Amino acid sequence: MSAKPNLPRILIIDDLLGRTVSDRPNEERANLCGQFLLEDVTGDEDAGKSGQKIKKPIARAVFWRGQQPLCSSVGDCVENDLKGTLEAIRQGWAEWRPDAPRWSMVLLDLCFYTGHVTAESNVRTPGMPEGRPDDSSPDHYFGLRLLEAIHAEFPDLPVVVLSSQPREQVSHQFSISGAFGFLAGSDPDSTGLLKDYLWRYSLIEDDAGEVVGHSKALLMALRASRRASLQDRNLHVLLRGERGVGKELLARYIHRQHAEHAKHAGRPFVVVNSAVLTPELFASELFGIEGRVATQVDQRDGLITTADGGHLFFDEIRDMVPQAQAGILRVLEEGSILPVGAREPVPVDVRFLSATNGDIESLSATGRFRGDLLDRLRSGGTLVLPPLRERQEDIQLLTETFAREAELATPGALERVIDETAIEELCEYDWPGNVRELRSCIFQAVHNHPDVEHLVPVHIELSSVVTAPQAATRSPSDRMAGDAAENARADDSDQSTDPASITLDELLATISNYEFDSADYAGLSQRLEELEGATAKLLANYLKASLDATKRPTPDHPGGKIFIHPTAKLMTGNPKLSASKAADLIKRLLNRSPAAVAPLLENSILKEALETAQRLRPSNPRKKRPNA
Amino acid sequence: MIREAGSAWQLRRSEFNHRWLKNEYMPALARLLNVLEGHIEDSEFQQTFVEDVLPRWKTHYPEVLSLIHDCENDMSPRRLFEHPPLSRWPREHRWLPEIVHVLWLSKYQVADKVSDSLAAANQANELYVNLREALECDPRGESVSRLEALRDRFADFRDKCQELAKSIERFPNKIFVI
Repeated sequence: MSAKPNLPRILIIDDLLGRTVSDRPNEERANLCGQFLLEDVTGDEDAGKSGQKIKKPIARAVFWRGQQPLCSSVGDCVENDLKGTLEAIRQGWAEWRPDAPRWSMVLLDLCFYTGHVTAESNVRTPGMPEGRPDDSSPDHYFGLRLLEAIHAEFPDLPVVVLSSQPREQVSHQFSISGAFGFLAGSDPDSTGLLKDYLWRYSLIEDDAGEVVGHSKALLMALRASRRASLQDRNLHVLLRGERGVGKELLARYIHRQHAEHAKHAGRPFVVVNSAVLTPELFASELFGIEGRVATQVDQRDGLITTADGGHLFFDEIRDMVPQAQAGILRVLEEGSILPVGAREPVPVDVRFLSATNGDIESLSATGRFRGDLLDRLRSGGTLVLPPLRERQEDIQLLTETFAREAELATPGALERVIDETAIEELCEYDWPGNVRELRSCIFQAVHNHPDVEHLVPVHIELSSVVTAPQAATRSPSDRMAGDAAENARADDSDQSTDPASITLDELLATISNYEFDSADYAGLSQRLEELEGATAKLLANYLKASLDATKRPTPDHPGGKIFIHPTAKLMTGNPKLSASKAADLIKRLLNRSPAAVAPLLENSILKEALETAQRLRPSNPRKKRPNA
Repeated sequence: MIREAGSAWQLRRSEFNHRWLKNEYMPALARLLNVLEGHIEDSEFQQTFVEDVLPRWKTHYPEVLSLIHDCENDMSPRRLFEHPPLSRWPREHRWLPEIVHVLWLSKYQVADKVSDSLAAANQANELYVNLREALECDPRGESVSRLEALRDRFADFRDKCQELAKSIERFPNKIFVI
């Protein structure tokens, strides 16, 4: 086993390199592996026979001759094998297996020599036939015939021609037949070229492990993202996908890939929740404030300045107020910002990555989102992240990843094996909340059952009623209708008054975007206390849910005991938060608007949390005055 | 017959350039360079390369010289006059093949191609001879450190082989009709 488990696995179809030589190692194959820094995992007698160890392989290679017999000696007749080769490709493409991940790319030779292996040809190159006149004729290359057949059956499989024949002879044919490029084995920088081809064209996992998965749909989105990351920085990218699919993670992936490939490490990545850009605040938030000595206004950088040289990610652009839309359009048109109070524009170099889970075109058509801004925001293309129900292959890996994270976040939780029946149940579910929902589900399962070594179906609590069998049997048109219905559901929820029917993200967007009616004088009167009370109750309820989520059974509390320290860590996302800071946080949350929160404190869990926090961090007694 | 005359040279070219130089010799050189740069652990390859692989140049060098020299004669459209129907032309018209040959040489700049290829082959051979001398003169023989010290020379030799391969590719792929 190599130290790097997710190296790309490539298939190399070549008569010379794929043959098995009976009485000695395949020297040409060992040379190619040494040249390109490939680990030979063919599994035939030749793999590993050469004794060389590549320290940092760039890929794992499986070699295939494309002919029969695989091992030939004097007297044998070698013939091309189209059917067998397609079957070999099919076996490594149909499904991902831990011991045989799907092909990331195929490297395909052009010229395959056929005919009889003679004593003379065998001396020249062991096991190779004499060759027939048509074998080396560009009009009759078997490699081109194979390329056409591969493209017809496996249109998503990336193929690159690997040949020592002159490129110009075949450049038109290989382009027509769907190959991504041509790699000349004799190029002095062949390793660099292959690395570059793998990066640009192959289907490879995120080697940083941040975007988790190996399904074709996800890997194609990652490939499109890598390509997008290479574009001119004036071309901005729109990311689409249902809620919870991981659009921000994909944006971070683009930023990381750009930094690695363009050697721009250390450039900033700034996330902006479009919903917080209110008409009053958007200018100072985005463009910053020019300092003024006379008025004692401090200079402050805006988010765009903070992102200068890097990427700025706008989450859910549907929530962007018209004033902010106009302001951003000016930045895109002029390449500069005008901080609040400034007279001179300041040039900026920021690439915008924007995300939406809704029908932004409809908003644009109705004038709620500026069409000219939308065009600018997607000038570098639109990337679509698939929903989790279309990435069923990833559910097991995601579940294992989330279970490990949850075990680390839950003090004392045991490491568990994910039971196959649990995976089956998870795969049958439709996941309307996508990866985010799966993560919550697994975290909940681990927090509720920390002392078990197996994650089984009884630990899983699913909330949606739509199940995969229904989804799986839906026709494409039904699915489109279903997706539309889902989006409509999301839209409806924006106006819903039932708190249980909206997500926290939607609630935050609603609160942030709420516009008070300045004409309604009476309506604005005496509402401060209520607003503060409602906010305090909301925060107390958030605390209550977080306490519940981190509760653990103990001998004294079989139903679960609360622990305020992990609760505060969960709420803040800060794993290094100290116990005293956690206690301070709990006290602060429950001491806001005491009158409003008091009824909630009757709930024993919140009362217990406050008492624990007060015990840990008692209030400082007032210093008595000397004369008192 | 005409097709065979041209394709015999094409086969020789394919044998040298495609099968040997590009598919066998240059990948081995590239592998050696990766070993010398520390990307590969292979205790035996350096010795195998110096004793077995590198000297193969010596046998293929005369072959490439002959290939380059023969191109002018074997790929010229003058060959068309050696076979029917042009071979049936009257004797008094036999000046035509030479005119065709001269035109072909001029149009396809064959002399320049021959000269470039010979230069690349000779320079590669010179680098090879230097490498052999450096390896034979060194009292430490083919020790790892000695080979590492010759890394740049091996890289130059690889680059020259690449230049030779490219120059041979530039020769015509068939007998062109003027």
